[in-house]
Amino acid sequence: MPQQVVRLGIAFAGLAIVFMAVRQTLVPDTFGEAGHYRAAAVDSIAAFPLQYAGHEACTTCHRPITEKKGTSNHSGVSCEVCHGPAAEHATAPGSVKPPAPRERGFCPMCHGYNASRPSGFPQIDPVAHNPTVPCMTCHDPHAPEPPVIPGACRACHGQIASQKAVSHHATLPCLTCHEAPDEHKATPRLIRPGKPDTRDFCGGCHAEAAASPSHIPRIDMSTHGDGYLCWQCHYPHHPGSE
Amino acid sequence: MQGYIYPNEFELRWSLLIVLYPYLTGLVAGAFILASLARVFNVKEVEPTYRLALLTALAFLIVAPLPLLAHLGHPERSYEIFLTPNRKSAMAMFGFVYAWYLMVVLLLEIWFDYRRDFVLRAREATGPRKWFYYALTLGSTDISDRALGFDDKAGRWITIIGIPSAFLLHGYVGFIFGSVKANPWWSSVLMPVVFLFSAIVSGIALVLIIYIVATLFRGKKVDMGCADKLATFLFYAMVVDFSLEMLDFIHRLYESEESIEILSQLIEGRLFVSLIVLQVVLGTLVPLIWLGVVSPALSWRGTRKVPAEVRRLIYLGCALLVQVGIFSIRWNVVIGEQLFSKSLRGLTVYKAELLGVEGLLMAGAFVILPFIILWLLVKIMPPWVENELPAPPEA
Amino acid sequence: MIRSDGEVVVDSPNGGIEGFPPIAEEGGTLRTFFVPKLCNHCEEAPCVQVCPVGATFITDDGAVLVDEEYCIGCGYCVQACPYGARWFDPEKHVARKCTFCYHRLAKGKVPACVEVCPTSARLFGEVGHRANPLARFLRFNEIQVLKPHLNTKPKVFYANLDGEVR
Repeated sequence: MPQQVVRLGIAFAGLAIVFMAVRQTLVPDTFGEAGHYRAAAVDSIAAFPLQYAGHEACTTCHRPITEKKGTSNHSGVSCEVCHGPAAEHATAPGSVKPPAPRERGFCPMCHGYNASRPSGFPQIDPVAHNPTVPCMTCHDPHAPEPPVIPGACRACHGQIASQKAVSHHATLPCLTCHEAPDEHKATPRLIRPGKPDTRDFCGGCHAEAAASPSHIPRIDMSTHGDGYLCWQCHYPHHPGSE
Repeated sequence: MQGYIYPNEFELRWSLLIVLYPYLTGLVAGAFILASLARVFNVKEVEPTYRLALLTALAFLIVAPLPLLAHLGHPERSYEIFLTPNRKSAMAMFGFVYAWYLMVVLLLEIWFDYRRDFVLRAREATGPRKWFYYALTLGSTDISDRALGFDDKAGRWITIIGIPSAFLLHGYVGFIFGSVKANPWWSSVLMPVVFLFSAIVSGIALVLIIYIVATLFRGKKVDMGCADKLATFLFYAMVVDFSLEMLDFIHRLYESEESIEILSQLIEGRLFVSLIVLQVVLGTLVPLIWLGVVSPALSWRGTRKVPAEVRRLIYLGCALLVQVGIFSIRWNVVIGEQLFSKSLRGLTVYKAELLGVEGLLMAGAFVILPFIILWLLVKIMPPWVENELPAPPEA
Repeated sequence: MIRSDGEVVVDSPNGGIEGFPPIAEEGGTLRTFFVPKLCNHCEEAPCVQVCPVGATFITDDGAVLVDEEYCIGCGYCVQACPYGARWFDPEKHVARKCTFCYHRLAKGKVPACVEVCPTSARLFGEVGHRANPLARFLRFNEIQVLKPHLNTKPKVFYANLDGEVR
């Protein structure tokens, strides 16, 4: 065998041995136990400290208040949503007290009007809605009810109301077109308001023969949009509605 | 910033240093493929650059992983890539492709090629120099005709293995980017191929620059036969490279997937200077035209009209422009990718910092460093034809 | 928000930590909604595929985690995640991500985001389990995942996802 090959062989064998030795010492112990990773890392991540104790923890000591909240509109809102992460309080109740937000800016984080929130979710305009008064003056956060059953639909249907306000239908009260039983205000998702279910309802103003003021647009009900209810094409709340 | 981008996209994770990495690696692969022209394909004209190309490849290969290393959040943990490589990861294989290329291809080929020189120098020199050259021979001091014949044959075989390895090295770098399906700017099967050909272009251009400049500095005459041949190969490689890039471009435009809108905003705005002006016009079209007119690539007649001195200057200018163009390709790939949001709804901006680990100064240092290493290598192992050592006196 | 002319406007000011001031409603609104984005804990996670050293992985129970003591900080996973869900910790110099609150799951609790979501818009459960809130949710809703064409097989499911969401 040529001398060159022998010498190179020795050099490469030396490198290979060094590599194997280094590999033997440096690869972490638990690497590869469960997969191509350091199994010990899972345990160290699982051992991170808790920040949020979880709503079950609160029930143990604060039963009356959690029971009250549990039957209210806030039943799905866990205590730590408002009171902040309270794991420390749960382990040392005497020394660490969770905060109770009382300032006006807090509740609008959820209840301030935002068009992206679902219609029907109670929203207010924080600037116009009883300015300067803390929310808790009228609303109990553990059993939030409107102090008076909302007289106006806009308390919950802000998005629709704000659109309607600048539409051609601005002067019509909601109840002109929608039947809304009183129960809807108390249990909004169980009892739903109605919508006009005949073409003639809109025809009451918009048919050619209707006895309404002459500036209201008219349509020939017999030929126009046959087979559809009017609101399936025309969105009555929309300012640009055609 | 414009439109919507995810909060983690304001700052670019892969900065200037990652632009350098494919750029430097490409120079390695290109220089090696140039060397193989002389060795395997027997292109006699480029013989004067054979050893120079090998040393250039080595110098740049030594530096190529350094920007990567400097960019890591934890460089001190980088050895993990050798110890526990994730076989599914394109990047994990880099360590091995790199090691294979450095140890098995480049060092071996250089060793076989220079062994005779090492032995002769070890015999002539005294003191520490003697020992240094002796160590380089690894104790293999037989320079009989038979042994040298074996060296030559071994070198030839290694070059033959080396060509696919060089393709692998840079095609693979392209794969690191091209295989990221999350990113429409990267995700393309053509990416490795484009990387490969742009690597060949940049490598030939680099050796051309070094050859012309070093020869002038040494007060020697540039072998115009060699320079013409290099320029010709540069021209051919550029034509292939540019066609591939255009194919990629047209393919994207024609397919016009959901990302096309944000990508055209990217090209028309943020990347206009680096893509259209630098990469395509200055880095490709201008040198292509000049080389086409001046070099013997298209016809021998063109060459005769232009005096050698002017031709040399034009080659040098073209090669420099090509370097700018190839660097812009790397920039557009690496930086361009991160300028638009994966939500495809917005663009961010990148400003390279001057100081700091990822700054311009650091990047400049990584560009200069291979030249310093090359200078050292040339001192230790002169690659020039006229330095060929005479045969030893008969013992 | 999708405007009446079809233009899409997306915003998450400061990650939404200080709430969401309404987007100016110029030109009329066609649809508008919130879409929370988080790590999808993909079954075929691109970030796990690309990690060169095995510093990120899918646990036996399906969560995608990062080993902060083993991560070399190359950032490849940040590039590979189609959802922009990974970020680079400027202090620890490693990749970070949502762990599905793995430390809470280990103690039998739900992730913090599920715990505190005031409208119960988020549900958590074991995928493939037949009796949990998630199973009911998957049974009664039309379910989408984000970027399904990338075949990452996310374990975060959306009901009523808008087609404009990417």
